[in-house]
Amino acid sequence: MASPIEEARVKLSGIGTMQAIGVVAAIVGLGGFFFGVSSKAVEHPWQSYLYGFMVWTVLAFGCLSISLLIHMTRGKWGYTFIRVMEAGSKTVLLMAVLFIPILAFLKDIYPWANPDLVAASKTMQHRAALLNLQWFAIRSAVYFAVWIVLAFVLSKWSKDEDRTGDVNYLIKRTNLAAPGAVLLVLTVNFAVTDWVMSLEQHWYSTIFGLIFVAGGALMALALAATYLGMVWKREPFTSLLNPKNFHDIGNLLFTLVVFWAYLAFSQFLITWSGNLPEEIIYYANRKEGPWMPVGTGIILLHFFLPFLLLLSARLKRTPSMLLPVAIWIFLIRIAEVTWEVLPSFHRTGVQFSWVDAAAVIGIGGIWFAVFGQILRSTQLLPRYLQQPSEVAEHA
Amino acid sequence: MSEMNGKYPEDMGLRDAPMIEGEHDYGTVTDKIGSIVLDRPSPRQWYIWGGIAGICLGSFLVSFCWLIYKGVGVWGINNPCGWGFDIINFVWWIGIGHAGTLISAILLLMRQRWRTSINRLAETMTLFAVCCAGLFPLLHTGRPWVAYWLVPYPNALAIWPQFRSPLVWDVFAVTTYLTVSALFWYVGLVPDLATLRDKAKHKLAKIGMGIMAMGWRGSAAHWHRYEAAYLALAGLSTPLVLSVHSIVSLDFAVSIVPGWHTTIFPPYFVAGAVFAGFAMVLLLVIPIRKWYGVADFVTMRHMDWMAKIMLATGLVVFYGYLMEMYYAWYSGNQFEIALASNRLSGDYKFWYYALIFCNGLAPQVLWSKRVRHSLTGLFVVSLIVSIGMWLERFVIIPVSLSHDFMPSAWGGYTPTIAFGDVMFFLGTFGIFLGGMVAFVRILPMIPMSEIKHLLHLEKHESHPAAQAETVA
Amino acid sequence: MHTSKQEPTIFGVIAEYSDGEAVLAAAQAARDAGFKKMDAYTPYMVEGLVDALGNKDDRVPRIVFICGLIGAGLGFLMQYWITGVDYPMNIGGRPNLSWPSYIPITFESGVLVAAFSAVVGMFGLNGLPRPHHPVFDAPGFDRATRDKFFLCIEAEDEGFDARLAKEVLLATKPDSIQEVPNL
Repeated sequence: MASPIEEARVKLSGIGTMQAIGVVAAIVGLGGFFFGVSSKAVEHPWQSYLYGFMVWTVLAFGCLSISLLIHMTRGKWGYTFIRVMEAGSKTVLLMAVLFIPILAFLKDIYPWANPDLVAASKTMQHRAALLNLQWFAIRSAVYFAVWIVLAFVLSKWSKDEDRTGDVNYLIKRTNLAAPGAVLLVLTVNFAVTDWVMSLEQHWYSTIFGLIFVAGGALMALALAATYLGMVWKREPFTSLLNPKNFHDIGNLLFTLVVFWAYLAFSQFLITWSGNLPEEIIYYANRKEGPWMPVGTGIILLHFFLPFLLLLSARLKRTPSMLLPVAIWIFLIRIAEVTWEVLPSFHRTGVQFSWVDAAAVIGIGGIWFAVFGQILRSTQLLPRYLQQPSEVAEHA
Repeated sequence: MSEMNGKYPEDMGLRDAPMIEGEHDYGTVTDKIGSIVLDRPSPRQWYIWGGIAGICLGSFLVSFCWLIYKGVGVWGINNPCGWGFDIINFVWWIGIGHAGTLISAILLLMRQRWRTSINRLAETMTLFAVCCAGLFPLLHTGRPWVAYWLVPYPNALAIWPQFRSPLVWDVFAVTTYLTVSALFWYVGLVPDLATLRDKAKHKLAKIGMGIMAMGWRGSAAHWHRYEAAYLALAGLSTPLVLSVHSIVSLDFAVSIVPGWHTTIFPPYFVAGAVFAGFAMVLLLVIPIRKWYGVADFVTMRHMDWMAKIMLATGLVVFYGYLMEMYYAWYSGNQFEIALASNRLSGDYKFWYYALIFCNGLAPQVLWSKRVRHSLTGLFVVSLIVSIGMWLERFVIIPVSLSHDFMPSAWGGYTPTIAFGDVMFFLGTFGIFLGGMVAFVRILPMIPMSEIKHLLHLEKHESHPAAQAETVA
Repeated sequence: MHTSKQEPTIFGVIAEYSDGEAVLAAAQAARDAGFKKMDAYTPYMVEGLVDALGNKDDRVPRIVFICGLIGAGLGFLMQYWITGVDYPMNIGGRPNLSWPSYIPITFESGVLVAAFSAVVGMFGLNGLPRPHHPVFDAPGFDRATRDKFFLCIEAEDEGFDARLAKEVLLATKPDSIQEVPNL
């Protein structure tokens, strides 16, 4: 009995197009960025680089978190796009390479790397025990090491399972994914503390890391839903996917939208009510200039709009209606990371320059080009998709 | 549970096991569950626990009357520790009250069918736990007879509740939670009450059940609307559960007391509540399924799932402890640092380490399948977790209050025992246990209609119609 | 009690089955035979039965959604009116419209109103509580909440004919067929 998966060793023509766009974006974006660096168009161009790096790193570890979730729950709901999430999570290796320039231009980016600022602040002197070049580099290496191991080992086992049909791999990947999820939350939390929170001289928030965990998962799932929304009309996807699958993915998107909003609002309400100077600075700063309308826009378009749309069961069950919502969530996620990162540079004058745009487009271009390359070498549907499993329970 | 033989099993390990064991049809389900209420004599343990509940209720009444007569001074609260056992117990009980609605609602939405056999018991537990919880802040106000002032109504003094205070949010959150949980519970009961009405022989039981069943006749059109309403209630209850304990956590986090004012509190409190709630469900379910012989419906598979959820939420709680410590250091704020070191080496350090053991370390044994599948092991872990979650609230409340900003205002906290904090706390177990003991006797503890639905699905699982849907 | 028999006609014809799938097939068959006014009575929800019977009603979720929005809106306005309009007070320097502080109660009131609307709406549309209904008089109907499944073709149906109804139902192989008196 030849399964449709065996026969249709799926090659999606779209991947090539996506890669071509990615390469063009990378050349244009990075060209623009380096022109900005050499022409001194902005005071601290490497801040733009960190911003671009963060946007796509959030997506990379988001893919890893969704892939861990699918492996851990053995959720049939995710088997149709698990290869895409695995490919996305493998890009953490790319992000590790792209992290190196940040180490080289630390002074341009972080206040704690600036001796004058540290000398002026007791808090920063206190934090200097952890926030210094050596420890920052070592910790970052640990985060990337954890992510790379999880991404590559899971993906390898997942493929070995396909190749050999040995069910022991199923047990192995589940057993790795559960503690892996614990490790992921911890490493993302500390990574975000180091890379983003430490941009502020005094501010801190214990929930900040979780906001990024939820946001990353949301962005990755939006990518997955976009992918399914684009391929579902082709065989063998059409016969593998039913409205229930889309309904489940829509529900998960809805849950993550609400969870993200819950975390973000918790942080806001507690900070706003406490109104302590070293904390409220975070929001006071985001009330200035263009950030107030951007923040308001995020409340309306990152929470209310998808929330109300995703309440509809009909929308969730109709791929052609779910697709634009998924694309929208993906794009608004970029805006949210922008709002989290850029105001923390406390720029005077222009808040969002073309160098920022160039960095985010350039790094995004590389990301999609590499992502496409990984997808190209991958069997897009795992064979175990068709094995009997807990369909009834998770479908 | 045959292990792998090269091919994919339906489900790994215990997930092989059916959710309903033994040979059952629709009739025997009704008999087995319904007759506990209608005609089976209660087991000896029922009388023993009824007696224990009675003793606790007695101690409740005595300490309650004494409290009303003398005032809140009979408790150990003082200045600076204005919150003591009262708020610890409030948060503890309300946390326990979270698993019930969570089991029912979230698992229903996720179509996790294993919920069916434990949801009624868990929901009932929620109701009584929330009642116990509500008592504490009410009595802590000192003048519970004017508690209606908390409700916004136009009055002669032209005074309104202060909506910027999380304590007022609490009033709304807890009453909403109690009301919605009761509605959810009652709606779930209606078809079963109709079953009992039709099954009962005794005239009084027939009339009583008949009134409560509202004339339910199982019409298909009714079932359809019923399902829609039940799903809607589940969809509303899920965020409600999260909101209630988040709001409880805001009672602390919205202030600027060191150790309280931290943004992780809402999710960390919610996880703690679910953690404690599942521990309490296990503590109740393990003995009840044995005494009433309902192990066919509450199988080891249920235990395994509950243990996994406990493990997951326990890890979130542990994560919260780590974050509190790390960010206390990271903040560079002298008060936060002082509070953290006070937890680690101050007057109450023993309780902090006990807390880390109970909630952080002990649940890690649940990674092992052997522990998850041992009733004794699960029972012991659940007991440790229940104690640990109580300690967590103890560590949060008196430790922060007794040492906040000014050393001249530091103090300590000692609960009173006889006629005071401890006796009152034990007394609330009378309400909880008494309620549960009465419930298993007068209402079906397992939803019969849902078990029948499950039976139907297991019987027709391979039915092609179930999967024949295609993309619209 | 039964003296005022103005309508001596029957309420309908009822057939009894012992399985959910059987009653589902029977409902389909009766529908195909042209009957419209009928209902099934089952001990648990049998999926697809309302579709087969053609008496699906999807108003409950809409009621809940609208009432939830109304409840949340009223909750927010109540707080704003009280703290911002009727009796403004300076609480820790917070503005009169302290919207972040209002969100928790806005959410709770939305949920409360929505939950009540779900329960009241469901029972109301179902016409419950209703202590008595003619089908209760069908022989053996007390097992409809236990282990039996019933399909009743009601006499109100246009062009109802007891003989035809019985014929159609008989073809679905029920355990028994009875007439339901209209008392």
